[in-house]
Amino acid sequence: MKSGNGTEPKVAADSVGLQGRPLWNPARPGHELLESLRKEITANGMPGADRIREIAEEHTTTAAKVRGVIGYYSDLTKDPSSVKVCMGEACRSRGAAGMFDDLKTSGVKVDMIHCTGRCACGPIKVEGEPANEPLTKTGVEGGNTFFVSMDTASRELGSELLANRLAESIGERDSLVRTGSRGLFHLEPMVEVDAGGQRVAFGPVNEDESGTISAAVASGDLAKHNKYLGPVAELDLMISQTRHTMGRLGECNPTDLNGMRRLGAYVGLAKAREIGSAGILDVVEKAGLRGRGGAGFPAGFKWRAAAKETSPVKYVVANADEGDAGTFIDRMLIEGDPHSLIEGMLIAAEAIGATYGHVYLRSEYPEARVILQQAIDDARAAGLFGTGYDMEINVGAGAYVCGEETALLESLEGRRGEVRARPPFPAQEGLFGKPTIVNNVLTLAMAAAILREGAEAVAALGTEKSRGTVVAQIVGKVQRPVCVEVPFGGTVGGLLRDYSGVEGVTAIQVGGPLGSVFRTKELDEVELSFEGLAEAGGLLGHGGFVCYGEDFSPREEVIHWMNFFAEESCGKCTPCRIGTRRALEILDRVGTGEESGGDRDLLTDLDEVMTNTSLCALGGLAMNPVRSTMEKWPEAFTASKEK
Amino acid sequence: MNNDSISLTIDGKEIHARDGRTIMQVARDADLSIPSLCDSSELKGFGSCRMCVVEIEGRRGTTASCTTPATDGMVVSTRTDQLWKLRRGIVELYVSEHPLDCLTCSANGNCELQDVAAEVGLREVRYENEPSNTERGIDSSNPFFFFDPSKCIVCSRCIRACDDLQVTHALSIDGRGFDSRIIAGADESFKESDCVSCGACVNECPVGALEEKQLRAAGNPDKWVRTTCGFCGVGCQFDAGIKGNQLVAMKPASDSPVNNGHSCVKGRFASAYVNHKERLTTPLIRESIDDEFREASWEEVYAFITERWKQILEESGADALGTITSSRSTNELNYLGSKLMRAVVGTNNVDNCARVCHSATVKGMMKVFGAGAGTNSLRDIDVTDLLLASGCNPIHGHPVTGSRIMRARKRGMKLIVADPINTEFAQMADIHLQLRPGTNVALFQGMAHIVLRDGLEASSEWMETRTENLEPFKEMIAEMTPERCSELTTIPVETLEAAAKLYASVDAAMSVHGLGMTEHSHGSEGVMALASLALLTGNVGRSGTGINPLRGQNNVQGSCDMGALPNVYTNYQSADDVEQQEKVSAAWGVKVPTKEGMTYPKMLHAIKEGNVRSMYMIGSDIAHTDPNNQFVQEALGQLELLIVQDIFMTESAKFAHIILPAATFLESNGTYTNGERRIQRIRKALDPPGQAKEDWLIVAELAEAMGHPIVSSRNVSDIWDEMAALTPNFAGINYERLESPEAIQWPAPSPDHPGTMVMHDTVFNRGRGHFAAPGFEEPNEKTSSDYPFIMITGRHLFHYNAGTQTRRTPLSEYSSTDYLEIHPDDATGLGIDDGSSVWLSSPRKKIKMVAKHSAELRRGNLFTTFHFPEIGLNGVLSSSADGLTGCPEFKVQAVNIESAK
Repeated sequence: MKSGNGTEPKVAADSVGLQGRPLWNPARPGHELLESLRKEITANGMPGADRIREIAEEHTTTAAKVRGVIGYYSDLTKDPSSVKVCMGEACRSRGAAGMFDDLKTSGVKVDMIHCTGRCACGPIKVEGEPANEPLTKTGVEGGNTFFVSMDTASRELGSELLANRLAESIGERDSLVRTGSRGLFHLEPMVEVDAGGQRVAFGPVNEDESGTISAAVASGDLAKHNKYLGPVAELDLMISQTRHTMGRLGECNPTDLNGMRRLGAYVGLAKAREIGSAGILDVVEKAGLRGRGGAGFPAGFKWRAAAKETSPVKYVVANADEGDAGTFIDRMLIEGDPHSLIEGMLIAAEAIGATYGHVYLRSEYPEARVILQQAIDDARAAGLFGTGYDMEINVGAGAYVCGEETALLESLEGRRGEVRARPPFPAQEGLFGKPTIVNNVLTLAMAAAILREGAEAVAALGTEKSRGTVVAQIVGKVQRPVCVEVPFGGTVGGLLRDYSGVEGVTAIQVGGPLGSVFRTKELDEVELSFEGLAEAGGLLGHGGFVCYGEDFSPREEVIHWMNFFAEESCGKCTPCRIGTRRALEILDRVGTGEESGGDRDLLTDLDEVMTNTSLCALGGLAMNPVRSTMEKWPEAFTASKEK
Repeated sequence: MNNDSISLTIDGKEIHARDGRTIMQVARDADLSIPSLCDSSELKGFGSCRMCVVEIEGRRGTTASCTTPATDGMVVSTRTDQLWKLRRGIVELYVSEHPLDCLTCSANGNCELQDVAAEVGLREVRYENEPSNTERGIDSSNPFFFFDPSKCIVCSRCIRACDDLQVTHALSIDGRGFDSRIIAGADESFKESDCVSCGACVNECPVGALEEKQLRAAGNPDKWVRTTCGFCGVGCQFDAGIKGNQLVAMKPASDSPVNNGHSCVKGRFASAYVNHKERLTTPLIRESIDDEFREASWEEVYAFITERWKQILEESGADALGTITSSRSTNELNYLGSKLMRAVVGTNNVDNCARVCHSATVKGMMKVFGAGAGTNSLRDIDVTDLLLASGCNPIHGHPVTGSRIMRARKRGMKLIVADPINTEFAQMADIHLQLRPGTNVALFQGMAHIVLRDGLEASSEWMETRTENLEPFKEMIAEMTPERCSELTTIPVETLEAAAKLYASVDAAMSVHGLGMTEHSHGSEGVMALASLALLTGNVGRSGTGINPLRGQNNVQGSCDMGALPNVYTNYQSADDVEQQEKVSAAWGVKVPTKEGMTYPKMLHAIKEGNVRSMYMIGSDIAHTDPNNQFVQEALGQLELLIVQDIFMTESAKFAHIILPAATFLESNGTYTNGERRIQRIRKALDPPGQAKEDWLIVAELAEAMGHPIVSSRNVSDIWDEMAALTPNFAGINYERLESPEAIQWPAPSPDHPGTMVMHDTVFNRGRGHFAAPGFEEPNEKTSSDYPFIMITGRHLFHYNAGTQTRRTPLSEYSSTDYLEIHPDDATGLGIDDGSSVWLSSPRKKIKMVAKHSAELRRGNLFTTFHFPEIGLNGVLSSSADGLTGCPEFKVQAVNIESAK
């Protein structure tokens, strides 16, 4: 306020513009509040009441709303300095619990997190700051070009060290380009080289071998190197894929806009702009695009509903809150081909008439944020946004439920991520009450691919109801942890055997923590499609397959799952808020000497209540892995076991 | 049923319903009960308890009925065995987390959890856990209610009520999932938080987690009596809960269009003063004000008064007597007060305390529209595009309307606030016009200038058919260029431009104003300028438009409507008009006086001059509330007979010879008229203490003692009927019609007239709207080197006006003194610390106060409230007043402030 001078009019700035934020609503202060709180808590620790009031005033909200937001998000309540051990299923299948216990016994301050998206190489622990900027080297024309992935999973496997050593050993004229990952993690760290117009690969390469590789490249005698894999495109596990969406991963630097455009980025957008909203909706529907976040809801239906709304402000929201452990394709796409997401969002914006885009990115992916921000800035500068559209990244703060679209919208509004009741659906009343479509990153990237490839080409693949391709992320106790894109159809068993190998795998959880658990051979005949998995009593979800080895402990995992759900329940609906806790208490007793006679019946009744009456899928599916595990491994729950 | 657009089947019953409602709402309207804990008729469906799940034909699984819209042809089952089983399972979960102390719980018998447990047939809780919240203590910090977290079921109704009804946002949830728990503020006690104790959360709580202290102590009331709040002019409807002869609860009525189930702290919790031990319970009498009072009988005081009055009448004539009636009392009292003076005593010397608040509104609006009443209704706030709020802070002064405005703000209504102070209300505006105090006329004329310059005024058809005096107005307005306006008001030109354009660009712009518009030396002109701006832009006579004064006291509108004014009879029928005089004389059976009456400030001067010898003061305390109150006190002290009729020993009563113990609104029958002209009943719920009597009855008995009965019966409805028969605009209104929860808004000239939500819709009361173009003049009060600050006075949420009532309630826990607010930069220059003692002085008086730093003020301005008579604030103020009405210049006072360290 300027004293004695009148305040500046706010109306012009607030009521118009692409963002269309409410003129005044302390209950919806906007996502900036979460950012402010993250900074405040990292710098000064938990704010006291007076500081909370100041923060509230800065964001035109109230102390209660600020305190409520702090209390909701684990990022804001957990000690920023502790070591975080991932307790996602993929990491657990590879010994995360042991790692956690060891660290704890050694006196280290340790907290759990749930998934960093590096499921292919767990168990993962995170300490301190995100990794340094990836090392690159620019040579001159005529020199050799080496490619090493900077995907965070690749880096976990040693690609950064490898790149450093490689940069020292390659020739002065040679270049080192950092790329996304191909998704064949058993071959990583991998080095690729441009050889006579095609890319050839070495892998997995130990950093000590970097000298021999640069020597081999310098000599031209590549094939003799013991890690030589041959041309990338001809690798068995590549040639069998249909990489519509993953096609540019690993090809060039993710933020090399021109490079990506040469590889087809924004071709779909150009087509989309040609055919306009109605045309896009037709293409997306014809291609049968279904949401890849888990539910498999037809994307075209959502888009059409939002397109119908007349609001001058509409939003497209990319759900990059990839919380299901065992799934990481969203992270790979953002880190490896961010323009595929931006393009998908622009196409969606074109389809519905959106004026603003938000990417809701989980905080566990800090490296992805940097890359995506660069890509957004580049795309904007290149004029790709056109007029009447802009976008930003909003970082989550540690809440699994915020992957649910309405909880995500609440979070974007600077609120506790509590699930909204539907209707109204976001397409009618979404972010700040405006029509909004929320789509998963992969869905949007696929939309870009569909526009580029054409609806017919995509619709020709897959099954009747699951068209096009599926991205499968197969991790855990497998020989070959991979992320691959294949057409729907065929069997799940075939997919697993062909790409990853399932020797020694006893149990497989499909579709994230809420998915069902199968004995390996049960999946042999299950069709690889949304319907196939559903018929088998499971769900395809985001396409994650977490494989457990011989050490799978059904009782421990069941308790782990319920504990996770109880911790991540938003608390809005009673069946989930109280039910998950009661279920956990019962599961703690079941199969031990403390089990009561009525516990099994009570658990069955509770299952029925939670499954049938919960507000969202967290409560509705929480009993899914528990039920399937208890059914299939009954011996693990006989009442003789020690607690 | 004709307007219903869908039909659906619920449990085999075909139901017609309006489109756009949830299954739950449709079922509730059809008296079909679906169990629920988180749903409430006042709140939007939330979908948290999941008790209300139903089955819908053709849909898989179950659906929450509270969030699912009913659609045409839907077939819904709410009572299948499977649904009961699921609901039983949910209640079992709830109860597993709930202490089982029902018999000693104050919510016993009034607990929705208990009800649904019984309804679903819960017989056993199989979970083996102990409820987890039992160790969290009860928060009893709020003076009016407890919060017992162990009983909380986390349904969020309290939070939703705070967010969506009251719009204070004082509550939230901390933690998540199973650890979710309700918090106030930054996880503080309710007292420390932003909570304004409106009680909406308590109202919503389905269990015993939020409970009124009074109810908890007293148990459930024996009866509920519908009545109208006795505080501000919003006119909220309440059901008073009575146990024995004690008030134990005030429950806001959800079927009232005024408050829709909402209330503020005063309405809900501050009526406890009615049971206060300091109530006057017997008539008191003394020969001289130097004597002590002694108790007397009614007969004795009536005899005493009539004897003195007759003597004065004989010696000095009727005009040596005067009466001030009360805008806190009923229409019936005000009518009888006027009749007592005019018919029994024979003088027009009757006035009421609206003189010092909205007399300038009446004058200004009368001039432009021909009626001194709010043009529109409160519900217009729900539909308007823009609200221009001038000189008011409804969050404090009219909290229920304040909440309504904030709700509208949330839906996207634009807001322009004109106020010299950057109040919390101004801070939520799109545009705050932080004008220099006393420049309202310049501001609204400056806005009119911009409207005319840019061609944003209403159509020429409007101008030609509905208005007059446009050309002279244009000429006058031409002088008030944005630059000149900016210079006078100190508001930047671009802000003025933005405000004028925004106001003129929306389809419907509505105006509300408070005493910041009227209590000026040119208050009437300010109202004229504002009303003319509305007329210029065509913002009158339609829904969502108009000029709407926020009336300070409960019956400011009615006391004036009833003719308790020296110059008019009921509904502003001129007392100068011979025809009117004859009409009234005929009705009353006595020749009414024709000599002009005095406003009460004039009466006070007449006392000094020896021309007025006795005054009868009903329910006002001018020795405390009037400016320059040394002068008032001197005048009162000079009277030969001062009769004060009140409920407490007020400052004015200290100068009285006779004190008449009156009844409160809860002990009286009658009607009040709120700021939107809605005439609403008050109903006797309690017996007055001791010998105290209803205001109107005392006046009636006094008239009888004078030998001239003025009532035909002891029924207030007969008084109303007599008044209505004299008053065309009220002719269609009777007590029977007031039984409906909506009551009726005047004018309603005939029994079949539905009442008037929007006035002046086809024709103005005066025919055409008259553009008034008074020139801008500086306020009377001007700073000088000795008195370099301009002080503004106002009120505070937790107190009501003189504070006579609210100081006698736990509200004093929130506010126990008046503070003098000063801009921190000014304070620093003068060495005044926050919270330190200061001297406040004017040529009249120097008093000690506690300073409070407030960056909300303009530099050079001070602000204070006047709720505490011991501070003596009003003694500092001058007698300066609106030239046209005598409304005091409370809002602009030249003073000095010094450190008293």
